[in-house]
Amino acid sequence: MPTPPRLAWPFDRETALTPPPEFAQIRQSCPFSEVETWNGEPAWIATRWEDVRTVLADHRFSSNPATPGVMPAPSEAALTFWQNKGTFDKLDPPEHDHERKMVTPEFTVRNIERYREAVTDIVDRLLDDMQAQGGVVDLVEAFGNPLPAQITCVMMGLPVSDAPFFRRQLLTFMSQASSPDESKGAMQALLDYFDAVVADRLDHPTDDVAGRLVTDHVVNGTLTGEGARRMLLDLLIGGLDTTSSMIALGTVTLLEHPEQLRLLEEHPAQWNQAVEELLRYLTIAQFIGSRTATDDVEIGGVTVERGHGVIASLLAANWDPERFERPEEFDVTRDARGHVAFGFGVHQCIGQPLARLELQIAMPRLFERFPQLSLVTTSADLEFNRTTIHTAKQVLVDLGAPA
Amino acid sequence: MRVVADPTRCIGSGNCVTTAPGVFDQSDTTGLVVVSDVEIDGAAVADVRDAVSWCPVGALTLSGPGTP
Repeated sequence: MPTPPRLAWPFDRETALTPPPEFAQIRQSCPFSEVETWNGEPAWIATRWEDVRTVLADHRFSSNPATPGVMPAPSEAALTFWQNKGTFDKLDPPEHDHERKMVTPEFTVRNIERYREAVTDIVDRLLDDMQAQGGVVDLVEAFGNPLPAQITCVMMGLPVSDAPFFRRQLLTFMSQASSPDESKGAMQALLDYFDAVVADRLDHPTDDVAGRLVTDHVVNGTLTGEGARRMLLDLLIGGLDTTSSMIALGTVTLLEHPEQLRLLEEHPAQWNQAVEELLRYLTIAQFIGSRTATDDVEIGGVTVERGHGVIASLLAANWDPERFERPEEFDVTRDARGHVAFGFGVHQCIGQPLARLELQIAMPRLFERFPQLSLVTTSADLEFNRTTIHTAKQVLVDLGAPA
Repeated sequence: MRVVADPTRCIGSGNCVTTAPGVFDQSDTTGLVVVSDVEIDGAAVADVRDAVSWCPVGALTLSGPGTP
């Protein structure tokens, strides 16, 4: 039988908030098959929830871009970014575990719960600012971006007034409109910033995430100053676009499913469940889950040879009808837990309790404050940044009269 | 039914604590899993099964009656 031509990865979306149709086609015909990445390299792609979890939990698949073989990336820019990270999300065990465990206590469910009041205060202040502005606002700029940036400042013990600086530099760094020099300069500015933070904590120990990392690990030599500044920057990057996009696109999704929003107005206790369904439905970490095989591995009825690349698509997994019935239906009454929106395996998002806390507070409070909230532009009009995380450039909403 | 946690596999994702809060906890010093109630029965069984299935690193195992 002749082999059909490989599909080109990444696939284009036909609609803004739902997965590219290729996932369902592949899942039906040959759920573990080969695609071709931007530079012509072949890579396997897993599209079933079960297979995606299997790949991500198997230590024989490496996350380290230095591993010999193919690291399937969505673009050259993404690959370059991954190669330059130098933090635990691009390391394999045991080096990964050694570094991750330095910050694990900061992100326990109980510890994150301590920030509930701080998150609520930030949310309410941002809603106050939006109310004062009135009319049409960009939800990304006014709400999605500042919330995670400000809570990160609180946790790390940085001045909240520095939040816009992070946003600006990260935007320049990530934007396709930036030249390579501009992009490099923005990253350097961020690294310099955290370099100064680490130096400051060495001189003046503080009781915050940055201070504890320096006191507990840099001072005794288990982590270098360079390692500390990269880790702090990575924690910042990991929580910004992701949470921001969930807030912005989550709002669009709810406003385009008014019957679901009504259910939540009538049963506010369902909000936490709705947040899980939003995480599943949107799965904004669209290009997370690339691995390189370090051995020959049997999976999904095929042998992935050593050095070959595998894409474990979180988005495809969360739309697998074998795991989630009628996945195309956005249904806030569904028990969506068990989704892999935060990934799976040792690299599962370290900040997930914080992300949940932010979303569980921000989403209901937004709709309580602005019950007449409506979209100025529908999802069909949205423009997206072509980045690892699915993010809209702007989401214009009309606030209507506040409650 | 009994549930056993392997702290050497745990990465402190907190999934089990969110799914079955009465059964699992996290150490304040390491962030890693602590099983507060090893013997599981009644209403907790379903939650613990979910927690075991959703643990991203396979750090939780069930044993005893009612397990395969």
